[in-house]
Amino acid sequence: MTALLDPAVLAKIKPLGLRAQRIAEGLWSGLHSSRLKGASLEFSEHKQYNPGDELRHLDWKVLAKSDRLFVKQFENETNIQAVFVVDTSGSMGYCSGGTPAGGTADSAASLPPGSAAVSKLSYSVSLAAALAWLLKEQQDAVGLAAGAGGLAGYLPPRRGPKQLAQLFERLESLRAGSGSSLAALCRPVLESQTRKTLVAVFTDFLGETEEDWALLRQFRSRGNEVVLFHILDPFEITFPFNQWSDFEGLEGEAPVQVDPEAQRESYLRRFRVFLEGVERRCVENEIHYVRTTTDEPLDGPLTRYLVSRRNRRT
Amino acid sequence: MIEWLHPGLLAAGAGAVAVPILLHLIHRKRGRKIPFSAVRFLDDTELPTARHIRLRDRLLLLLRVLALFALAAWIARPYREVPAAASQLGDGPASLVLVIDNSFSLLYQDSGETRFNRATAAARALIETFREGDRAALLAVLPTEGEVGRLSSDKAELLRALSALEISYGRPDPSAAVRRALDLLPPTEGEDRRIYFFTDYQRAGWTPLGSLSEESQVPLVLVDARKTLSSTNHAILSARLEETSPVRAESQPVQIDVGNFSERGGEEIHLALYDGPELLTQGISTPPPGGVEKKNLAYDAGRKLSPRGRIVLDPDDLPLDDEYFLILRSRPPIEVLLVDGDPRPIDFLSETFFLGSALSPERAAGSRVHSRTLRPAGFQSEDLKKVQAVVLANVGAADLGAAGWDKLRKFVEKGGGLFLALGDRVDPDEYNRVADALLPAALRLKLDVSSQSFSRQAGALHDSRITSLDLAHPALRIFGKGQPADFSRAAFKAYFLTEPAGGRASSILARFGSGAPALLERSVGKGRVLLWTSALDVGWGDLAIKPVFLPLVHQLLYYLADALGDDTGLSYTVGESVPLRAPTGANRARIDVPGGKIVDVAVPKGAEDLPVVFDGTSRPGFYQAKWDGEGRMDFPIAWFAVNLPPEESDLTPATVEELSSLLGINAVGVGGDGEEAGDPRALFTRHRREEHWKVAAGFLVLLLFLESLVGALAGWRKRKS
Repeated sequence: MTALLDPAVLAKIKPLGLRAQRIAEGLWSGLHSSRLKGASLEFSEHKQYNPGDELRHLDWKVLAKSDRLFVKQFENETNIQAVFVVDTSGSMGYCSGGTPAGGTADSAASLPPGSAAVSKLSYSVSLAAALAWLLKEQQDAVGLAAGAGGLAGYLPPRRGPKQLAQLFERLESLRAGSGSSLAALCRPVLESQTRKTLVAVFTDFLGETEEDWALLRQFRSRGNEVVLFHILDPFEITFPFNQWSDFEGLEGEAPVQVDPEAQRESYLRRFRVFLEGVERRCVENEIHYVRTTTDEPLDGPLTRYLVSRRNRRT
Repeated sequence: MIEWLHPGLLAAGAGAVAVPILLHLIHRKRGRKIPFSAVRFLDDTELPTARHIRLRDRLLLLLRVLALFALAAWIARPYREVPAAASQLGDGPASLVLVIDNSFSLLYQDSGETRFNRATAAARALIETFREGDRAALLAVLPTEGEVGRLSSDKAELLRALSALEISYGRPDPSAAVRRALDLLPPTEGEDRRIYFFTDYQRAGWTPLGSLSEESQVPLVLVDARKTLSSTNHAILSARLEETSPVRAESQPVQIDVGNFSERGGEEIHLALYDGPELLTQGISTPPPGGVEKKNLAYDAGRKLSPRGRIVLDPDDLPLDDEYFLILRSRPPIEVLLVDGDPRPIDFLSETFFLGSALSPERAAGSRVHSRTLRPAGFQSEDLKKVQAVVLANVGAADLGAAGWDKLRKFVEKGGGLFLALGDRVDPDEYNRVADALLPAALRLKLDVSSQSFSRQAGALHDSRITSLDLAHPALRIFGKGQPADFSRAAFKAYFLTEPAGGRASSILARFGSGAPALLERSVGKGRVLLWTSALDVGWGDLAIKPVFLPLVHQLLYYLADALGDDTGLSYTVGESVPLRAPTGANRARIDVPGGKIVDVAVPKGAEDLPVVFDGTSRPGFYQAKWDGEGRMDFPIAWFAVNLPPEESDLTPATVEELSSLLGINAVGVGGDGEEAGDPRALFTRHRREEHWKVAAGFLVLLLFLESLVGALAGWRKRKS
């Protein structure tokens, strides 16, 4: 992991545009050192020549260098449009590092071991911004559905820097616990959709409902590409607590008095079932499922998404 | 019903019980609150565990709270009243005699309270427990008027009598009190008979009761009035004036016995001798523990004193015996005028030569008599204001003149003393005429016992020696002490016979062998007249050259001048009878008793010569006897001192066993350990106290064991999970 992509470090870069640019640049430098060298979101792919392929797409340069036949395969959708759906439920404000929802810890040294310094919402915002930056680079249209439900919280996808600035502004203004449900956010997107759209959902899915899944299925049924960034806090996965405490839910649940040591095993079991369930339903509905924790460098989930996308295409 | 010996500690323990509860609450309040996003994975299925843990914690809290309470209960000493012990009364009717020791040793200040108060409080507590059918008598060791000398069921009467009971200062006889109590308790079927004796356990005074029949055996419950078992007391046991020469004005030694009735010794005790409020002398005494120190003090007796002397020690817890009363001896100098009726150019032939010599400081070193001699003619012009006594020696009636006799009468009536010595210049008829108001008896015939004709005629009347002396008379008392003075060696050649005259209150102090009076006394007004029926020179006898002459004339003149200083033997103990010698003519004595009371004692008619007995020495202090006669108020005042019985100062206690063995009676001791005696009511509740602290201690152990068990189980369960 490069320190430049550490969520805790990036969170301190206040202009979201700059943060997104930094992530995108990091992402590219990471990709150059990987086996995906030369790949891009809307790139021309090479594939082995097969009889029937148009010769005009033959890459002569490659042929000259390697004496192999490859054809250039261009993306058909040269100008895609994408909509980011960001979950702003109360649980998205959770930060195991102890900072208020949406904020960052002052220093990593003061954090409990294994905790994250940023909230899930903050992480989601950074991730969405980076993805938006990447798409902007390719002159693609981006939109956002977050915060208030209905048309009020929906920024339809457009191209251009003005749109990007507006999108960043909206992302920055998001606060956990203040928004509508995921379904309410998705509904205007679905209703106003006129062409195929990349729908990227940033959520912890802790408040998942069948309605949410129904809408995601509708997106898919209309031929849209759907990617679910499942954002989790590391403590949600490890449940490292050991002192008798009152656990207070972030979405109005009744406090629960818990002896963590006594309950850890059952919690982990139940949480694992939950994760597996989400992932299984994503697979069943051909939804890209990218799980990440808020202590993971931000290029991780992006890379996994891009690899997953490429693999699915091949 | 459970009661608590130390309810304060129980309350404190109950307060302490709040501590773990408070800690629990505070702990709960400060319980960590963790905001967490995935609480939906924590509820429902895990709830029973939390409930179990909560239950466990509450159980532990309960056990700890109960353990604390058990600890507090243990310390607070729970008890229950159960039926009475042997020394206490049962539930049936009781016939009791309550004997209160009212001897003055009970005035000992025991931790700020007298033992007498403690004794009466304990008795009151016992009376308060009386039930219907109970009867009791109330006796005092030193019998008083307020006793209830029969079995009474009137509780109020008993309480009234108890309140009226006072300390007596006499010599107690506790065994006699027990005997009186036994007499009040005849054997009765089905009755609980007891004698409750409220005492300080003082050993002094107890004597064996003698053999008691089995029927008359009654349990004796000795109720200890002491709060502290050890007592410290020092006291003046006695004091007496040492004998000194009566003729000298000098310092008077006082021998004082200071007793120390404690185990501590070597303490310096200050003692002081006062005459009324005036300090005469003081000193330091260091009596050994359990012993007596003889301490000598001396005071200046050469001046007039009150004569109420008090010896005072530093006060201790029994202050009453730190004061001792005694009549002080004072021998102030006196002025005497000698009127010589027969002065001669040759001194030793003068009538007053021998008398003057006997009184002069040259003859009697340190004599306190200042005498001057003058002739009868000079008497009229003499100022008698500073003179206490006048001696007329062979002064003819005409020599003094009527004015002289009148002056003399007035002098005596105002309190002066007159000594009349006769001689050849005395004409009896003239004397009887001009000095009738002064003469103790009428003068009659002059007897010349040396003449042969008289010897033949008078026969047995020839005995002219002084053979009879009233040694009870204050002036002559000293001649009866020690080696009796030998007056018989003095022989008289001549003396006057006298005839008692009607209406004159006179007495005869000395007689010749013939029975004729040699010395007579008469009170005139406030003064006294002594008549010597012979002469003071050697013409009529040789007394003047005998050794007895000097003390005799001194004594007589001191007596006349009211400066005898020899009334110091009059010291008695409380309860002792005091014999009082009534002056001639007195028919009753009014005695001022300490405390302001006046007691009249009549002189029995026909027994005037016998001393009057006064039995009212009930309190220590000074008693003053004033005599009354037929219209006369001019009798001399007599003082005597009364002191406490010294053995009562010895507070050495006896044990129950000793008293039981001495009396031959079944005695039981109650109280005396301070705590019980502090609550006298507790002594006589008809129940006894059964303590239950062991139960509380057992509970504590059990609760601590359960607490450990629950804690261990919780740990085991945790490890298992």
